[in-house]
Amino acid sequence: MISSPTKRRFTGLLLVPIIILGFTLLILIGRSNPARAASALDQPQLQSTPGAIDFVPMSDDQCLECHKNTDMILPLPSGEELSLQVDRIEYRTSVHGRKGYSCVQCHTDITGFPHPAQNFQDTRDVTIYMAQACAGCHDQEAADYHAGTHSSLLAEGNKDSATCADCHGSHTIREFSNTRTRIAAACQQCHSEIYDLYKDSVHGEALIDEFNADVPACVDCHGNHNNSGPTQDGFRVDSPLICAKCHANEQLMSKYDINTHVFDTYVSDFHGTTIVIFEKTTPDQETNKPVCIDCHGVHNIKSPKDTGSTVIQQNLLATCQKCHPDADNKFSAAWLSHYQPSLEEHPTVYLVGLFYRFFIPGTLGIMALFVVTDFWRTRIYKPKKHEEEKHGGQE
Amino acid sequence: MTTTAPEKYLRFPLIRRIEHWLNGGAFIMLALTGLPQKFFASPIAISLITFLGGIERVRIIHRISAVVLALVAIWHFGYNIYLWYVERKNPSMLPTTQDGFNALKTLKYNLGFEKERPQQGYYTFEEKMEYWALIWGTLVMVVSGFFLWNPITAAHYLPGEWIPAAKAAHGGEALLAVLAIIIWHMYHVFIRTFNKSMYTGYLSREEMEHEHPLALYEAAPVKVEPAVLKQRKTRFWIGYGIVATLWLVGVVWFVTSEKTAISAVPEPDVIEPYTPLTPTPLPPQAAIPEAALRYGTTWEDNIGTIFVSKCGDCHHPNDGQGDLDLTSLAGALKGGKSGPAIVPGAPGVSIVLIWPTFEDHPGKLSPAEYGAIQAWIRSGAPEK
Repeated sequence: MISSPTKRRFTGLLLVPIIILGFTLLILIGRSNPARAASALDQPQLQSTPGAIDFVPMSDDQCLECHKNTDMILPLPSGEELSLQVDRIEYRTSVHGRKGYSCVQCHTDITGFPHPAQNFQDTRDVTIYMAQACAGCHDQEAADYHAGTHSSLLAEGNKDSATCADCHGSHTIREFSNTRTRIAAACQQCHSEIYDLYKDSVHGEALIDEFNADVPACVDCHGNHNNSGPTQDGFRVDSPLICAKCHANEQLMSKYDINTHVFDTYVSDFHGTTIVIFEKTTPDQETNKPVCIDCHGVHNIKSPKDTGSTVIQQNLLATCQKCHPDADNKFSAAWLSHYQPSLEEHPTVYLVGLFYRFFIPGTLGIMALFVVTDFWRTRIYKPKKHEEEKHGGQE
Repeated sequence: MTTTAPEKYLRFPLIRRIEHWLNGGAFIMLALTGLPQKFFASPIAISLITFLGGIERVRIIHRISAVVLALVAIWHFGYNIYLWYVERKNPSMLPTTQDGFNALKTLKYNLGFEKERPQQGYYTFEEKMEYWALIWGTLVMVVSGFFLWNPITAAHYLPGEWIPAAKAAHGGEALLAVLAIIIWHMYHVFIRTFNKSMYTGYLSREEMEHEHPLALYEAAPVKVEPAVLKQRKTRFWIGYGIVATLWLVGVVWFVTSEKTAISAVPEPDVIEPYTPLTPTPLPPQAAIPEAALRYGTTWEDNIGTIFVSKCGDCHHPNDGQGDLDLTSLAGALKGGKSGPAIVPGAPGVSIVLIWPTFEDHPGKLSPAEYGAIQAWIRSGAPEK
């Protein structure tokens, strides 16, 4: 082969930057950043009132002299009637009553009779107004509440949104430890349709029918004061972590003989990998990749052994088809059903993995042997003098 | 017989260099967009994905690069067959048993058991190893990549379990390929000697003598008759035309056969979140004694008389106690300093019934009077 003019060489050198430029362009064309600015909700803070007070302007007996009467009913402009009656025994057995809190420690605007005029339009106004009494002592819970959905809905003007007394009650509040199994009933007051789905689910049946405190009640997934739901950025993408809180807990799951690798195996699958990447890069992304609830159901979640389950083998393909409408009978076998591949379960996948577990170090080991020895021979090795002489003599 | 040996030898014509760098560029892009998906738990992977514009974008770049690689492969296959069949070039990339001996001898030399490196031809065993590893790797990646790109189509013909198996193979082979390129290719072209032939196209005479001494003595291809050449070309283009068309159709099928896996969005279950239970009714109010009801039912029918006689001494229109006048219905409804004395319909919160119960209030109501006023307010405090 005969050498060509230097012009050709120039063309060749130019080639490298051109191709690099081409691939860089490919990246740059695509580099539009979908990350959205987090929408910080400016919420008006409830006015905080002082907590426990030393000076009690009125005794509970004075209050109850009138407020024991069942006909203490205040008509409101909305047409609703508000009962102002308090049952002494119910209050005295509530958590606050037993600790000796008096009426005016919450009703701080009442210092005597007659009471200051109020401008409540309906019963919701009263419940919302009274929340500031709770915030006076329970400031951490109030701060959490302000970060939650109920608070932001309220700030948007939705008076139906729940505040303290809607879940906890008012004069009849009990300690949390006694109400664990009653949480769902608290939420039911506003979310009755969701409750009806939940009560027939594997979790709901255990909580409501068996008083089993291991299963999630509403607040375990949605949070209590700082509650959140699917309308919020990030809730969906983060939701597998909610399930994993219990389902990756060996101690808890062993009681029910449930596989604790459900989260690991989900994450190592295509769907889960994508969700983890979304969670780390663009958590507010609306994603079309399934999370746990897309296959298992949300409030109506069933045991995978239940014939009504969306993931039992005979229903699995229909579940896949929600996103993959063209999928046919063998497609659902592409999902490893949360098994870690082994010789018994999904041997093809296991054997491919096993092959590469030996093939990669084997191939690279041979390459490294050549490279290391070549480096040693060409750069480090110095022949001994007599060998060099002998060698030189032979040449 | 002896001619002056040239100073340098053309090793890679421009077309080969384009081929190499397109292939190399696609390989690098595939690695940059593929490995972060395999090692997604690593912060480096996440930074890289973010830099490239998110995972969806990363996957599109990965797929474009895969198509570039497939097109380079069609070209490469055709060009090599052309050189071998039409031009009768020596298929110098095919492995021979001599390569095995050369490898063994090289290892012995490296370890100091041999005094000389083996003399090798146009392509050394190192280069052949690199080349065939690339061919093997590309085959594995194309087949497994098809499964991952088109899982529904793949599962239609083959067991579903082959899709996660393909994912395992795709990831394993990718790791092997990238590490092999770093260990083997990078060492040989940058560290062992800096081989500039893929930039300039040329190797110097010394480089040829050192690395490919046998190639210097290879016979030049024999000149062939133009008629024979033409016949070979025709045969080549027919054969390659069919292969290349099938290949291109395959690439189009590869890219377009299904969209489901990347575009379908599940229909969310819509449920009305706010469905309150019916509120608990207020407890029934205490019954009013019959006797009280006989007292009177309207302001004019006796109720007014109770107010005037029992309250009027203090709560009169002329600067009455607490600015309250209880001698007329209008005065009672208007109220005084403490607000309205009567809330029609709500006897429980009507001050007129609360205040007389206090010990320090001089005026008192008899139970019958209290009941009568209570019943009257409950019925809306009518005047007549």
